[in-house]
Amino acid sequence: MNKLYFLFFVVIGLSSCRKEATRWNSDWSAPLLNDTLTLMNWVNDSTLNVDNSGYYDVNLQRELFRFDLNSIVGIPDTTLQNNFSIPSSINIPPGYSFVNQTEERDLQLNPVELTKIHLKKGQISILLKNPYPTKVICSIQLPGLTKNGVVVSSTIEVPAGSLINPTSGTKIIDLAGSQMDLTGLSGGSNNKLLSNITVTSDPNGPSFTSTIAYVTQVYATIKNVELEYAKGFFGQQTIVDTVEADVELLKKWIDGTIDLPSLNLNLKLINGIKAMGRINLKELTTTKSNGTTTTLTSSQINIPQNVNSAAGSWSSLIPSETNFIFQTNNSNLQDFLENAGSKIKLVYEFVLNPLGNISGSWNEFFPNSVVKLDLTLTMPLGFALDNFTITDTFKLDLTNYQKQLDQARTGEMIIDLKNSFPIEGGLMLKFIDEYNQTLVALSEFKTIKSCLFGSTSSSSGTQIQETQIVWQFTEEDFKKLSSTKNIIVIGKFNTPDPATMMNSSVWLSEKCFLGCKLRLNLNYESKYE
Amino acid sequence: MKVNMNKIILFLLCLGFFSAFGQHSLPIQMDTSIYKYEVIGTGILDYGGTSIKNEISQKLLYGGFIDSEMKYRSLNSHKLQNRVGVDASGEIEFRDYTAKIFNQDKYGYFVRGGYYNYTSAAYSKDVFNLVFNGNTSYLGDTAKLSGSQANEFSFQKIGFGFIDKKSKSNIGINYYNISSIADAYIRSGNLIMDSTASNVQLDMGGQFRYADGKKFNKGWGIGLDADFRIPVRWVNESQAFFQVQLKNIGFMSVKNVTQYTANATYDFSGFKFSQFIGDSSMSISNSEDLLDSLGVEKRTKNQISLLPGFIQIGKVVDYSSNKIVQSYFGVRLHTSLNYTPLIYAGGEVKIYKWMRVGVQGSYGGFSNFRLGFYSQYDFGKYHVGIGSEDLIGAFSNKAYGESIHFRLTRLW
Repeated sequence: MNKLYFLFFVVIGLSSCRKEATRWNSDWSAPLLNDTLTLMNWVNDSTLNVDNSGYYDVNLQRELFRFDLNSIVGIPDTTLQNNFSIPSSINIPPGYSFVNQTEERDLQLNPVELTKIHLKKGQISILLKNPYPTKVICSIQLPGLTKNGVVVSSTIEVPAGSLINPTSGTKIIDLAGSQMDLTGLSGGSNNKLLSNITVTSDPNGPSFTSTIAYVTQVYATIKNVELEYAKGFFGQQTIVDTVEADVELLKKWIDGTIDLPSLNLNLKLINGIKAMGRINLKELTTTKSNGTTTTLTSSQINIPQNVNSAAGSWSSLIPSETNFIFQTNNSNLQDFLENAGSKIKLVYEFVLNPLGNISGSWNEFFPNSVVKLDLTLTMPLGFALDNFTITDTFKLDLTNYQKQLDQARTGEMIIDLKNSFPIEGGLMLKFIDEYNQTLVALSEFKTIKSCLFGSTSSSSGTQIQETQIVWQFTEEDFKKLSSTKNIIVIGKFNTPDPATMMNSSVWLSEKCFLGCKLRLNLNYESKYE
Repeated sequence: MKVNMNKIILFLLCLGFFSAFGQHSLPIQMDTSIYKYEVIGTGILDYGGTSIKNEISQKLLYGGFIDSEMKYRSLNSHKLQNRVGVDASGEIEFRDYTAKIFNQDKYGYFVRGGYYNYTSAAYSKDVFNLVFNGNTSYLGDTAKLSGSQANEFSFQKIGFGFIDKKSKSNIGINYYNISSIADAYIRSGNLIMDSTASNVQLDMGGQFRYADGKKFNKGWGIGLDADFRIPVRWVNESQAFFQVQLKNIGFMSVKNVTQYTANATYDFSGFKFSQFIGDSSMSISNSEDLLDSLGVEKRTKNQISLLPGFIQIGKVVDYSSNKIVQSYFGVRLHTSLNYTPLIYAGGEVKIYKWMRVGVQGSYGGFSNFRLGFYSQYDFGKYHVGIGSEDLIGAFSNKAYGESIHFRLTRLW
């Protein structure tokens, strides 16, 4: 009988046993992308302008370098030490000032010789060490330093110490907004910091005997100083530097050529300090990722040019401008830009006060003073492209979707495009894994035709060419896609003339757009265990 | 010995017949015999619906590929609103009739444990079509999703109660462990597609909740089981017994229920380039980003709700009666909104003293009309019952459900 029951349970158990996953296929369609690309976002962004005829002009404005004036004419963090002692043995009663001394210290700013400065920020930290067996009161006055018209001063009380273990007291004075006269006690010097220090014994403390062994030490540390005004002689200084820039857009250019129209490149040195200078653009080069370097050649390269001093002062300050204008008729600018690589390098030399102190120590800089080199590139946005190929990589992590991709059977990505650019483009996609191995390549270049081959829209008056691109995905493709970490998009561009089918120059108008609608059709196997 | 062999052969025939189709059904009987102890084990696997044919239901339950022909046939049998449900449960119970409860000989006690899973859905025809065929068939059309809802509960219980030794009326209280809970509803929903799949519009007012995490214990509950047997005067001066049965009537509390609520119209034509490229780009690896972009509100909260229990009232078969044929009938109500009141009626025939068979018809529940059958065998101290509440489903892939009920009782 027991066997009978056992058999019964086995049969029941087996009859209800799930042997495989439940699966079925379904068809899904969904839009993925719907957007219109224009160049309008770059207008008024120091990149593009629209001219009176409605065509784009390149108006690229970039700052190549800007001097930090505080690194040329500034006060580095400095500590000054003063020691005070009484040469003979003396009894010090309560409330007695036994140190009262005015000091003049040089800030060691050579070759800069400053006579007056305004501080935007900064601090003086005073540290006093007291060896006496009573509390002392230290009064510090900085006669050349005024804030809101009042001489800066401070008081520190330091508890009783001993010869072996002097006690310390500190005080931090904020210098922001203060002005400093650095002409010293004589009134005709420079870089001089004046201080007056008085040390008084505790009025309520005991008397004590001071000997020569008792030394009061005072440390004044000037730090974090940033000037907003300086006057004096800023020294004859030579700055040689190299500015390198990576242009991401040009990194993506991997093949083909571009033919540019007439263009202007203007490099402008703006000098906002009242001091003469001299600028020498020693070398301007562009280097492609394959190592090919093109050098800008011109009579203005590696030739020093004098830089005039700024005029006026404070709110009436007028900076001087020194221009380097490169055009196709005075340089190889066209060749330089048509071969532009992603790495652009400028080597320059700037000399401050090249003729020495000829201003009677009357160099000045003001809060609004700058010394910088600006680049301006202007040209109509027109070009001829011949298999001009660019590539870009976008992050697309599909590794979390392995299960879903494994269940996809077939799919097609359909892109409907409306192109009103006079440019013909080909698109290719590569899905790559974390080791940059290609998993799936939609390798056939799908062509987006130039609008010049399309028809004229009655509403906008622009020529529009409509194109549909279809990419098919197999089940194997979907399985491979589950390791995707990045997607590489490769675009190949030409500017064919419908009459000759030869690539020729085209100009882009503000009405140009590329409308893109991407949708996905997917046959998917739903599955659960 | 000959009788025993007959019993075995007949039992095996019935067993083989029904197990081949994986379904059967059971009676509820009134037994006033006095025993010392009783152990009862029951198991139910019962699913049914108004529209999904067995050829799909069987694949859903037992695995396999659902082809387009199967989907087409089931889709054609769908109406505007449809139901489907699964009841999979098992119980074991020990009854002690020797004990004296409240110092009275009349009452014994029982302890009971069990596992239960209830899954049910009420849904529109378009929901079925979307799930099994996708949305491509709605290009240039609208899928109507309103009024659809689904829920799933898995829980275990352990209970204790008192039993009337003669009538077997009993009442007990149970503690429940909630191991899984999920529910969803679409109060109003329309999926509108244009003819080229360039635009999808979803008008959605709905909610989806589930108890998150891998813990076996996601909540707890307290509930009541009761079974009252009431003698009534019946036709021809005879006596009949009516049963009022309550099972898993109570509430449950579940912690950390994740709730997604959507109440808006989503008009989607595709993402913008800026959503994929640049610093503010959306990560498609993160489903939370995607839901955020669609304005779906996410909350986590504790939830208190009714246990999925049922109440059944009806006439039961008198086990000790000398009649060859007896009737039974009644009505069954579930706390699930997807379960419509079920009415049933049937007759039992005592073929031998040790063997009874019954046939019944029912209407309602998760399904429509169902024909049921059961057989019961007494092997001395062992009683075995096996049956189905859906006999048609045992024979036909085109039916709308399957049902197997099993009960084994050991008496002392």
